[in-house]
Amino acid sequence: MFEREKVIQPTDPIGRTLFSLAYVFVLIGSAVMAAVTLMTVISILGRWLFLSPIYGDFELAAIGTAVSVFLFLPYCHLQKGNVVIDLFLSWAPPRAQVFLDGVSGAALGVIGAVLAWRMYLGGTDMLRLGDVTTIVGMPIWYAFPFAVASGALLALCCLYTATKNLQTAFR
Amino acid sequence: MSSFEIALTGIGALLILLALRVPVAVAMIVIGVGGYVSLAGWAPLLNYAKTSAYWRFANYDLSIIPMFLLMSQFAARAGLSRALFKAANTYLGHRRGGVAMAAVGGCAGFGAICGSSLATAATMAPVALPELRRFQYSDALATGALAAGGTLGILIPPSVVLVIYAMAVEANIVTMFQAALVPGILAALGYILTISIYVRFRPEAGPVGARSDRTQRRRALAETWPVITIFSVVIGGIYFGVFTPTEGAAAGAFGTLLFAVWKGGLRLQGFVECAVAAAISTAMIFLILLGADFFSVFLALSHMPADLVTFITDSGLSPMAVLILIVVIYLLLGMVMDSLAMILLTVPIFWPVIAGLDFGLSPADLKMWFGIIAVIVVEVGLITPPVGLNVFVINSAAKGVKMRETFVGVLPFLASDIVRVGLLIAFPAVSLALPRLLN
Repeated sequence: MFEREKVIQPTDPIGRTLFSLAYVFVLIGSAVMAAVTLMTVISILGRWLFLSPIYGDFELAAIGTAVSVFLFLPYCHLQKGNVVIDLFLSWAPPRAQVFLDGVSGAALGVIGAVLAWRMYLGGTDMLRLGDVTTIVGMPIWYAFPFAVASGALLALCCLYTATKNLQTAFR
Repeated sequence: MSSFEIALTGIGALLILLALRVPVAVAMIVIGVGGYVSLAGWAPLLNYAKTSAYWRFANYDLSIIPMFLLMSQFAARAGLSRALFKAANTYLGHRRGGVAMAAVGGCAGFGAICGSSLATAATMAPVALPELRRFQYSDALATGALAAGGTLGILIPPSVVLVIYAMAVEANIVTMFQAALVPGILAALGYILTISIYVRFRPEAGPVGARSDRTQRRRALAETWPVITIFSVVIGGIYFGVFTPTEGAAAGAFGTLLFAVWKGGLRLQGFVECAVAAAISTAMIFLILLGADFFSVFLALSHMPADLVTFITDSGLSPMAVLILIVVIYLLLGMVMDSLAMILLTVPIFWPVIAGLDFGLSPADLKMWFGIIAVIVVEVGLITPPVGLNVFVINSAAKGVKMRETFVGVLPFLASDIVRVGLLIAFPAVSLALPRLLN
């Protein structure tokens, strides 16, 4: 959770674009998370000082968390942030390890793409049915454009890293 | 194939994927999807995938995780670890092995405002190591004490792993945090006792450090006021129900940010680095949470946990024997696996088994008791070879120390952990007394 191997920034245009895009997503997500944290603090103070917490702060925090977590996903993959057990294959030739990383990266890409597709449908369902949160009545579909975009970007990033890995493995 | 066999095949395949370097979350999703489809077909799964990720992530109780991770990042940059170590050192340093004891004490203090073991180990190492070197402590004792001390971060609340466990078994986060405090303090005292026994046999490993007088002690203790304040507000507030755990975490993140800016010289660039580091850990944890959802939906559909419970109750094994078996499985898994992933992977199988056995405790008590035991045993995995992550962190901070040496240094602390787990199993009151007292 703390020590990660250093990731080398790519030099090719596609890689650079994906890395910067994922970084922008992380920055937006972090801003949302910071806002949620600040809102929660203000709500506590409001409750103590003026006996009036922020209306529906629970719901806003939940939606904000969902939005930021989705936005964090692509960058986490690019920074190799996902937990891997590398003990059993530490003896294996680097080529084999890179190959396996390529395959599992491709699998995560498929997961990202399928999730983006399903969440697109899920979001439009919410929009059509007019699902809103219980207290503030915020439309739930608001979160879905972020979720779909993040799933799609995750798929693209995985496609990129998987291609790179497989190229390295078979060179 | 019966559904029980499908579930067993799934678990076997999952272990193979994990060994093949597939990220834990990806392996859980792939196996969860594969198992689900073979039991119930594509249609319900595709429908489930429309909103399942959203509902998993849009959870007020889980907002606590990114906030605690932010809090840990800020705490690490607030220069508080130095003050904590110094204060502990003025009280303990003059004893034999005292500087190592102070390192453990500093870790315990830092664990009280930080929910992650690796962060605790990584921030305490650069502060304590030079001092340990100055007094010529043996490399094994110095690095072993720090690696073990780091694990206090996970046990002493706040703790990210406890939040994950509470979510997995639908336990109350507040009472989980209450239950963890006494075992956490016991852990710190146990490590200090371990050091004092160790230096009795190897006096050259831990020489006496500097003696401090009362004014120095008082002054050093006063320097730790930010930690005391944050811990009292956050954990005290959560314990006594002044605010929800998520609100406590938000207040803690905000408070540590203030100290990081004031005492640690944190500026915009550092703030962004903290936020991005917390974001990566958050994404990693939530992706595993999503994977655990798919995996446990598959397990539930196969009725495997329920069948396992019947099998075990029919086998006539005593509840204690089953618990000890589970502890042993955890210790073995901990040698190769990350603590969070382990909790999420095993709790859907082990918790129904434990819940189905009679330990003479109410369901709520059982959740707390088993949870604390599980978290301790899982945390032991952070310092066992071959993949003790804490050992790696400390070892990379201690230049020129062989990995072997650190692992040897950790052994006495492992023994102390095992004794403590035994204590907790034999006397549930150790973890259950405080929640009873407070509620």
